[in-house]
Amino acid sequence: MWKRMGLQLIIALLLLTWGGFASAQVLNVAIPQDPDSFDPTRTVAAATSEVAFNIYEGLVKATPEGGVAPALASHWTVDQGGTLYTFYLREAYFHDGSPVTVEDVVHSLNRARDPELAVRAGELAVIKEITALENAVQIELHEPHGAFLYLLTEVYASIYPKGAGDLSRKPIGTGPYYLADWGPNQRLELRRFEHHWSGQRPYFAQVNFLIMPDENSMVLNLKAGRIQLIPRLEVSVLHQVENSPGIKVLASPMNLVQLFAINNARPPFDDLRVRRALALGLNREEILLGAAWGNGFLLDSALSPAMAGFYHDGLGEINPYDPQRAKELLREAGQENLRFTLTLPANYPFHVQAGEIAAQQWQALGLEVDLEIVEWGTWLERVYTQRDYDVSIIGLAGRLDPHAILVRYTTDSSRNFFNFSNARYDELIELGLRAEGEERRAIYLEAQEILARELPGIFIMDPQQLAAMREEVQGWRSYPVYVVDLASLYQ
Amino acid sequence: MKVKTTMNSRSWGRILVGFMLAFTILGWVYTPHDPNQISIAKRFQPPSGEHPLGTDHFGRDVLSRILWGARISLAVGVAAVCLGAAAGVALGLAAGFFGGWWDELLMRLSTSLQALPSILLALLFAAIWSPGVPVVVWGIALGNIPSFLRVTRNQVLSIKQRPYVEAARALGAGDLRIMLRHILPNLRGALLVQLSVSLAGAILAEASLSYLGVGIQPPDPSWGRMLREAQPYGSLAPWLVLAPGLFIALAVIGFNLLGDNWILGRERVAKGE
Amino acid sequence: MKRYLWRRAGGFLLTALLVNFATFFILQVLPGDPALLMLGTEGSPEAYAALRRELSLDKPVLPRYGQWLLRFIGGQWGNSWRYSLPVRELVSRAFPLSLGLALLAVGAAAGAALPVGLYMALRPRSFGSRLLSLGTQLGLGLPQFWVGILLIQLFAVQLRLLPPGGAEGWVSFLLPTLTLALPRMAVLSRFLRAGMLEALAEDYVRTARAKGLPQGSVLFKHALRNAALGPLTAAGVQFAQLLAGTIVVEQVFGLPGVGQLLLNGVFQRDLPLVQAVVTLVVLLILLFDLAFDLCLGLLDPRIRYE
Repeated sequence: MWKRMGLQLIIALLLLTWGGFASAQVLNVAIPQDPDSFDPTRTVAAATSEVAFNIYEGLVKATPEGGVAPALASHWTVDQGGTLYTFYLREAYFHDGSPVTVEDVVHSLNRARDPELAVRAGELAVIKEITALENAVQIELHEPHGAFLYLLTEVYASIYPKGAGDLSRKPIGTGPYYLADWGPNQRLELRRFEHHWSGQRPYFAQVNFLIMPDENSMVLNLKAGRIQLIPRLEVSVLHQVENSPGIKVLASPMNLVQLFAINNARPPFDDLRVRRALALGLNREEILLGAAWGNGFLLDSALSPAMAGFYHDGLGEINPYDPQRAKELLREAGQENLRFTLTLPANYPFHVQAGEIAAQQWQALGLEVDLEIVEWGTWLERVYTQRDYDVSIIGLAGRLDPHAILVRYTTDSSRNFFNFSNARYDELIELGLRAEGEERRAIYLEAQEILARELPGIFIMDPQQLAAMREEVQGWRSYPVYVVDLASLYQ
Repeated sequence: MKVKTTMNSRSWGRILVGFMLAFTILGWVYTPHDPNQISIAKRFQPPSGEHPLGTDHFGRDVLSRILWGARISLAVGVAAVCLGAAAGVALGLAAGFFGGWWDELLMRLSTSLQALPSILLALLFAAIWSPGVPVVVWGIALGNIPSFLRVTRNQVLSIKQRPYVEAARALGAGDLRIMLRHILPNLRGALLVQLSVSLAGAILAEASLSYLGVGIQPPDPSWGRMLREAQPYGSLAPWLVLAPGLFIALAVIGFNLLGDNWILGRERVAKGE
Repeated sequence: MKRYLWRRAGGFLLTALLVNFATFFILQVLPGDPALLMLGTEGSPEAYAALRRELSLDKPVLPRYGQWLLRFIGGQWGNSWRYSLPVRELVSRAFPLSLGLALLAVGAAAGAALPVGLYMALRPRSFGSRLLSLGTQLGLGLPQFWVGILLIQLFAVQLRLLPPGGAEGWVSFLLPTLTLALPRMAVLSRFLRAGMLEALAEDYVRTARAKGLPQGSVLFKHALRNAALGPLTAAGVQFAQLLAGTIVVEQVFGLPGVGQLLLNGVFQRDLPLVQAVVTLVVLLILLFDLAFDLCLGLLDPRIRYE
C-alpha cells in the first residue's frame, strides 16, 4: 500500500518536474550547433545569422519574398547616378534602452567595412564614404552597385550602439528579441524586447534555442513535446515525423545550390567534353530521390528558383541525362577509361549520399571513381583553398542578390575554387553591377546560360528546407536566406 | 550431467566461431548480389526471397553487404585487438614486474594515450597516411593498449609477491622465465575478458572512424558502418539495424564462449573433475 | 613511500607536458587552420590573412607554444575561437557535468555488476547464469547510440515519464546514466565473474572451505577480495574514458559535456580550448590514477610501493 503510494508520488513528481517545459508563451526551438559569435564584424556561421536575425537589425532587412524592407531606416533615396544613398532613420531604441542615433549607424557601418576589424569587410568595399546628417545617413559609393541594398540586410551590416563593449557574447541590437542567457552547447535564451520600434509585441515572451547535434533525438524531442520547432529538419529523418499526430512539416526552397565542383584547370577536366560527359552521365532524378527523398528542385543553373526575378528556367535542355552521348564524348576526348577521385565532405551526410549515388552512375559509363571522404577542415584546405582535387560536391548558400552568388565564378574571384575562366562571363558580371531592371535581368540570364554550357561544375538541386513543428505553432515564414523569423510565430 | 552441459557450451562457441569464419570465406567468393550496386527504386525492401535480409537506403542487398563486410569487420576487430593486446600485455608485464621508474614511465605513457582524444589521433593518422584498413587497425590497436596494459600490470603487482613466484625466484629462475611461466598463465582470466570486451569495441569503433573519413572508404561495407548508416531509418526499416547488429552480437558471443570455456575448464581442473 | 611519491610527481609533470605538447603539435599538423574554418566557403584572402594575424597564427610555432604554456600556467587560458567565450568558463561548465555523469555511470555499473557477477560465478552452469551471460554479451555488442534512442523512445515519447534530453534537473540524468552504465555493467560483471571463478579455484579458498569456514566469510573475505582487482582496474579505465566525455551519449541527449566541447574544438582547430580540455583531462586522470593505486595497495596488501 505504502509502496504503491510512494511510487505514485514519485511519478507525480517526475511529471511535475518536466511538465514545466510546456508553459505558455515559451517556444523551444532545436538547432544543431552553437552560434560562433554575435559580434557582427566577426560572425560568419550560418548558424549565427539564423539566431542573430531576431536580435540585430540593419538599416534595411530581408523579406520572405526575397526583397528589401525598411528597418531602422524608415525610407531612403538614391541619386541619379546611383552612387549616393540617403537613409532617414526612424525613432528606435536599443535593447539597453538608448536611442538609435546617426552616430551609432556611422560607427557600426564603418567598422563593418574596416578590413582590419571585420572579416567580411570586402563585401562592403564599394562604400566610399559614410556621412552623418541630421537624422539621416548618407552613403557614397565608388560606383553604382545594383545589389547594394541587399548587402545592408546581412548580419555584418547590423547597427549597434557606439559605446557597446564586446558584442560576441552580449549582443545589443534593436531586434524584437534580446539574448538573455547563453549556455554553450546547451541553449540560448531569447526574451521579447518590449520597446521595438514597430510597436508590435511578438507572441512568444521567451524563445529557447536548444542545441541538439543529433537529428534523431531532435525528432524524438519534438514528439515528446520538449521542443515545438525544428527549423531545418534533416531529410533523412523526415519519415519519422511525416503523418505523425500533432506534428506538421512545411517545405520551402532553401536557396542552396548543391553542385559537383569540377577542377577546370586539371587535365582532363580542362576539356569541356569530359566535363560535359560527366554532366550527361548523371541521373539527377535518382540523386534527388536517393539523397533528398524527392524533396528538392533539380537545378540547371547556379541560381535557385528562390531567386524568382533572375532564375533562368530554360536551361533544362542543355545537359539532359544521356549516358550514350556521354560515352561518345568520352571516346572523342580519349578518356573512356578515366579514373578520378570524388572528394566528399564527411560532415554533410546529404552530400556524401549524393556523391555515392553519382559515383555509381559514372562508373556505369565505364569510368573508375575513387570515393574519398574527408573531414571539413581538410576539405576547406585541400579542395577550397589549395584547389587540389578532381571532382567534389558541396552546397553553396544563396544570397538575396544574384551578384553575390555569381561573382564566385569569375576568373579572379578568390572563391572560384572551380578554376573556371570565361572572358564573356567575367564581363557580364562586371556589367551586371551597373545595370538595372530588365537589362540587369538579361545580363544574369546570359551569365547563367554560360555556366550551364561551360560547366564549372554540375548543378544538382536546391534541396527543400523542411521546418517541422507542433500543430499549434502558427505563422511560420520561410526566407530565401538562412534565418528563423521568431517575431511572426504564435500559438 | 554437468560435464555434458559444459561440452555443449564449448561446442556452441566453436560452432559460432566456425560459422563466422565460414561466412567470411563465403563472402570472399560469393555474394548473391553485387554488394555495392545502388538501385534507388528498390530501397527499403523488407526481407524477401530475393533479398533474404532486405535492402538498404540505396537499394543494396543487405545480405550481400553483410557477407562482403564480414571480412573487414572481423579482420579489423581481431587484428586490432590482438595487436593492442600483444603490446599492452608486454608493456604491462614489464611495468608490473620491474616496477619503479619503468612502471612510472609506462603507466604515464598509457595515461597520455588515454587522455589524448581519439578523434585527434584519428585525424592525425588520416592526415599522414591515406585512409584504409591498415590505418584503422593501427588506430584501434593503439587505443586498446592502455586497457591491456593496466589489466596486466595490476594483476602482476598482485601476483608477483605470491609464494610460488618467490619460490621460483629462490630457485634461481630468470626474470623472463618467471614472467612467462609463472605470471602470464595467472593473467589468463582477466585477459580473456578484456579480449572479448575489446573485440566488440573494435568492431564498433571502426564505424566511428569511417564516419570521420578515416576508416574504410565507401562504398565497401563493414558491419559497424552499416549499423551507423541505418541510424535514421531504424523505425522505417528495422532489418537495417537488426542484421548487422545480430552479426556483431554473434561474433562477440562466439569468441566469448570460447574464452569462457578456458576459464570454466580451469575451474573444473581445480576441482579435480 | 617518500621516494614513491616523488617519482609519481615527476611522472605527473612529464605526462602533462607530453600530452600538452602532443596536442599542440597534432593541431598544427592537421590540414585546415582555424582561420579557414571560421570563414568557411565565404572567405576571401584578405579576411583570411587578417584573421590569421589576429589569432597570431602568422607567428612561428615554437615561440607561440611557449607563450601559450606560460600564460596557461599563469591562469590565463584565453578565449575559445569557436565559442567566443573564455575557455575557463566553457571548461567550468562542462567538467562538473561530465565528472558527475562519469561517477554516476561507473557507480551504477559497479553496483549492478556486483550481484550479477557474483551470481554468474557461484552458479556458473545454472540457466539464470547462462541467460545473464548472454545478456551481458549482447550488452557489449549494442552500440550506445541505439540504446539511447530506444530509451528515449520508450521513456520519453511512449510513457512520457522522463525528459528526452537536456540537463535540467536530476531526472534528466537518469536516461544518460542508464545508457552509459549498461555496457559498462556488462564489462564489470564479466571481469568479476572471471576473477571469482579463478579465486574460488585457488588453494587458500579451497582450504578455507575445507576448514568449514562459513560460506559468506569465504566468499567476501577471501575470494571477493582477490577477484576485485580485475573489475576495479576495468572500472578505473572506464572512469578515465568517461572523463574525456562521451560524444555519442552527449549528442543523443543534448548534454553540454566535455565530449561536445572537445569534438567541436578539434573540428574547428580551436587550439586554446582543446589544449585546456586535454590538459585538464590528463591532470584528472593522473590524480585518479594515484588515488587508484593507493586504494589498490589497501585492497591487496601484497602490492608494495617501493
